[in-house]
Amino acid sequence: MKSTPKDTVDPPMLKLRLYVAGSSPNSAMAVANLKKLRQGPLGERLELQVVDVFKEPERALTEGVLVTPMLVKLDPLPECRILGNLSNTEAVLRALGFWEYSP
Amino acid sequence: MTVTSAPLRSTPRLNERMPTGIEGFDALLAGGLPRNHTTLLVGGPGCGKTLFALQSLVMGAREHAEPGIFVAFEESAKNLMDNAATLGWDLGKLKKSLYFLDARLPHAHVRGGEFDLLGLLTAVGAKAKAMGATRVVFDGIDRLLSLLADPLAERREMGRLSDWLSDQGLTGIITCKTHDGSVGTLDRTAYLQSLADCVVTLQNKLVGSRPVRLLRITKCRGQAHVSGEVPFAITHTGVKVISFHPEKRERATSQRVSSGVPALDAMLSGGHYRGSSVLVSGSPGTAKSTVAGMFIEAAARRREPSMYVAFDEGAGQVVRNLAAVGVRLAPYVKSGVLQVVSERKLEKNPVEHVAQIIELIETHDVQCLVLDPISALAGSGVDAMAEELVVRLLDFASSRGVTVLCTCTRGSSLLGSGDGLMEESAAGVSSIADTWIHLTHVVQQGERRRALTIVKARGIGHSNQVRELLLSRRGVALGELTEPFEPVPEVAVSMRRGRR
Repeated sequence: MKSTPKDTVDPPMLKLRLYVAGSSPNSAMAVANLKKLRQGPLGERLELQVVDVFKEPERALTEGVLVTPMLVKLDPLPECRILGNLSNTEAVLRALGFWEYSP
Repeated sequence: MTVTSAPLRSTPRLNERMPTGIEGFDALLAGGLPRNHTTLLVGGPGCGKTLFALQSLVMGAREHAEPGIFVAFEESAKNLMDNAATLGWDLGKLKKSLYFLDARLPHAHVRGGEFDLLGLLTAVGAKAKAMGATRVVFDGIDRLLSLLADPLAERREMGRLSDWLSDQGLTGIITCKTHDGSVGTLDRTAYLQSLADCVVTLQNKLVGSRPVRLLRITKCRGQAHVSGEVPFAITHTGVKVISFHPEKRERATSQRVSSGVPALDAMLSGGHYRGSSVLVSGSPGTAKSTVAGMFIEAAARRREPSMYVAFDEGAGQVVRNLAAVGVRLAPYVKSGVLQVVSERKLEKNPVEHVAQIIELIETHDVQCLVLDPISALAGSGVDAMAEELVVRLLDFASSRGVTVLCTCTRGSSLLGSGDGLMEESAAGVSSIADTWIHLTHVVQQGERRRALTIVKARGIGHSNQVRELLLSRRGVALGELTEPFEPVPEVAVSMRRGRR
């Protein structure tokens, strides 16, 4: 709901890609954490693509995925890479441009 | 009842070897690194870890048809290719069997929680399968590990990496910088060493005043190995380890090689044995180089590939100075049968000299070799190492059947303590040389003359005479010394000084 005049400018659409290694502990946790963020501060203004390197190992090679899980913010630019299971909510949100977030 | 024994694990036995193709190294480990296991290369910055690993991969692809993957955490793939090109390895030809993964971590990243190496391992595993790779290098693993920023996570991930290598049937070479002792950084080498099946420590150590590269196999599970420090050099063709070649020793031959001086051949009842080492010692000015020159000239005349290595002079100077006493090397240099090489003393450390000489012997299939003077390798505080290296070099030459004549200045530590004419001074090069010829100055009727004597000649019935060495414009000849003669007084003084 956008009720206050302050919010008339919509936050830009987020385009994210999450690289996971099957359902290994850290990867599964990243998926769960991202789901939580979607229900909370990130909202639905988000386009998410999940790449499983177990299924597409060639992509891990060409797209420079050394560690898993890894979340890449593709849009808006600049591109940003967030390593890890996304349990550090504050760091994740800041990296995605939600500067004023406080839990 | 019968008892059957089944293998407990599917991991290949530790004693299966993977040759690195690095000269002199595989012999230290009975054939190479443990196949399908992890080898750790540790050392400070600039000690040759990356090159060592890269060479193992290149040689594997080139000589053993074993494709490999190089995961570079520290350098760009382009940098590595350029380095390889300077060593004459044409990686373009090996495109199908070598893959470089640029795994430098992006500077801009955010830590959003714990992570693992599954992405990397999956990617490398898929690539290895696709190209049939058997060798994988992880170069500069410390870079990746520092990203984990958690000692426990590091151990967990390295354990994962090591298990993964075994499961995939890959032989892993991991390089890691040694801990520099700085505060706040983690010493990972300790746990990495306990994890790896084989650990090779490389170092660049000051010996005397010169930096010398040394390697040591600190650990190798399930395999007897050479455990002492072994010198190595990085030459223009890569890493060269100076090790013994005991298994390759040629059978002793009774064939003779002329010394180039007919009268000396007569004293040796036919000349030197082929493949033996001859030491010519003496004070400066006793015509050691001329004796050496005559030997090499005779070899070149017989069209045997020959080499004259000068440590104190330039190649041109050697040819000119010997020509002045009638030893003409120029035509043989021109025809290519003789190489005159200058290995100036100050440019390299003794390991590099020896590595270079070994390389030249191999390239030109040298049959007769002069090292003039071998004493140039010692000094500057590297005496002990020089002696060991000379032993290794002579051993190498003998394993190839090369006849070596080395000159040595009297008083050099390489001769051992004592003087050339004292038979009890059996140390240093004089003890390992098969034949020892000593040149000296003597006084006869108020005149200084040169004299030659054979101190020893293994397996040869040799003359015990002291002969006069006559130097003319036609080279060296031997004459008779008529009694009485005595050592030149100045020389006698330096003889006492030479003793320890």
